Amino acid sequence: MKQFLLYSYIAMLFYSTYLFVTKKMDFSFILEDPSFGTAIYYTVFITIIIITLNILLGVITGWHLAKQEGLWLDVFVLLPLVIPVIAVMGGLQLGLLWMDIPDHILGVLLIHLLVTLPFSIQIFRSRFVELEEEIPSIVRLFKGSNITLWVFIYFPLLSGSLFAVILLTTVISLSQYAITAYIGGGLIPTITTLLFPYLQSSNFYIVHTAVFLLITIIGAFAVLVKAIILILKKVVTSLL
Amino acid sequence: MSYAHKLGRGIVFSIGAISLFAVVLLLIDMIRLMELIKPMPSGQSYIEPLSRLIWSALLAVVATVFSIISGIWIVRGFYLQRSFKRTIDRLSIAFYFPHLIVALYVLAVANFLYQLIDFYHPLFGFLEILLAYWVKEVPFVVFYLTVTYTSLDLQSRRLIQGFGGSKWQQFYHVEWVAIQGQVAEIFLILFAFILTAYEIPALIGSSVYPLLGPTIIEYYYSIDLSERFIMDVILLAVTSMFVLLTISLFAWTSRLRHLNGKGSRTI
Repeated sequence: MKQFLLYSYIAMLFYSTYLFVTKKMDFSFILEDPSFGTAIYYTVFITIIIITLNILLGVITGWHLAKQEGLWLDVFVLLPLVIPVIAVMGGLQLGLLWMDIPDHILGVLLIHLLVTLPFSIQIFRSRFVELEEEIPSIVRLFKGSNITLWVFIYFPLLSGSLFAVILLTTVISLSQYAITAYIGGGLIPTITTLLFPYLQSSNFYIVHTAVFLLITIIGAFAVLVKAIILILKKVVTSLL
Repeated sequence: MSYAHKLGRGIVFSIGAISLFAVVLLLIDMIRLMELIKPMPSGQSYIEPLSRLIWSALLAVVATVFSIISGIWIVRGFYLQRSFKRTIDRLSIAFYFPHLIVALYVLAVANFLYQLIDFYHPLFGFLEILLAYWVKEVPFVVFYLTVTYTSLDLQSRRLIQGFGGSKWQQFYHVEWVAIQGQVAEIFLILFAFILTAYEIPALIGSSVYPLLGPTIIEYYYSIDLSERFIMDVILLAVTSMFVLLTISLFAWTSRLRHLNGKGSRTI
């Protein structure tokens, strides 16, 4: 499957190169867009903040939920997923207006966090449920500190979940056109709000360029994250 | 309770409370609009968005049920054939693709097929959306159920088999008992998401069967305040239904957990 995807991407790359050389495909419509630079800036900013918050809050909450069960805990963690995000968006917009911060990056960050965090919590929760319950007591038995436990034991064991959380958070965040455009009031452009109108175009070459750019961004990001996690894991395990 | 546990609990209640608070704000928005709109929208004005809600609900139910059945079928296949981990890893590739890209792929394949058979029916647009959701949500179902299936005891299946139980009885008494709560959870998540999602219907939506997601945005961007009011009413009704369903579901599953702890009396 991975090979199939790699080959189809290579085929897409060749086809895109052919279209580019024959001048059927060009990136000018995106590069010349006045909000291109701002969109890149906001996308990077939102993605970094959302990923950081998802990891920090997701790990703590996933760990807590793996050890504690309760009716209201289960209900509350699922609420952001079962309450339609568009309904949350409608209410949140009024709240932001009252707080005198309409069309602000804070609102966009909050709504992106609400749609991504429950997934991160569930991923970490599942992983902590799979892990041995005795790990912390064994580490303490050998006089290990909390840093030893989290950095040298949990980090290598959670590396797969970390990658899944980072990728899923990025993909979900990059998929949000409606809520980003609405809460941001058009003043917070992102790659998605920039490319979405082009994806609706009837011109095949424009749609192809937009799809190619989105897939390349996500693919390159996934490879980069995988490499960083792998290197960090090797460094950490070599220090142990 | 340690500091970290308190923090974890605080985060859970905060994200739930923020979502609920946003819904309360929606209610306040509705009350505020009632004072501004003169005259109030007639019952006739609700017919169009309600018909879109019904179409969306139909699509959401079908897409959700298909995704869940396919997901269970895939997990069971891997679980029983013991080639579980590797195949599940391969399915994770679906997460690399946002919904809107999957929708465009489905659209491209569909357009190619229409040209091939030289035939098109407006209902096909509806089926394209269904297919896009199915392709994207099946891996989600598989991942959600993976943990439960890996922790299931195969011996119980063999025991039922030994007593002459059919394959259905093996599934029902061993697997279904373990996954029913999660299946209900997945149903709620997917149904709520598909019902009001904007991106896929906006990209490949059919004009003959318009869906709720694009309608919500259209009404919210409208300069006619009564349209925003109508959408607030519909969204509040839908949200209340989902909140009540979630509480009932978890009350039911926590009761089940209690019963299973005492030993299942279903066999």
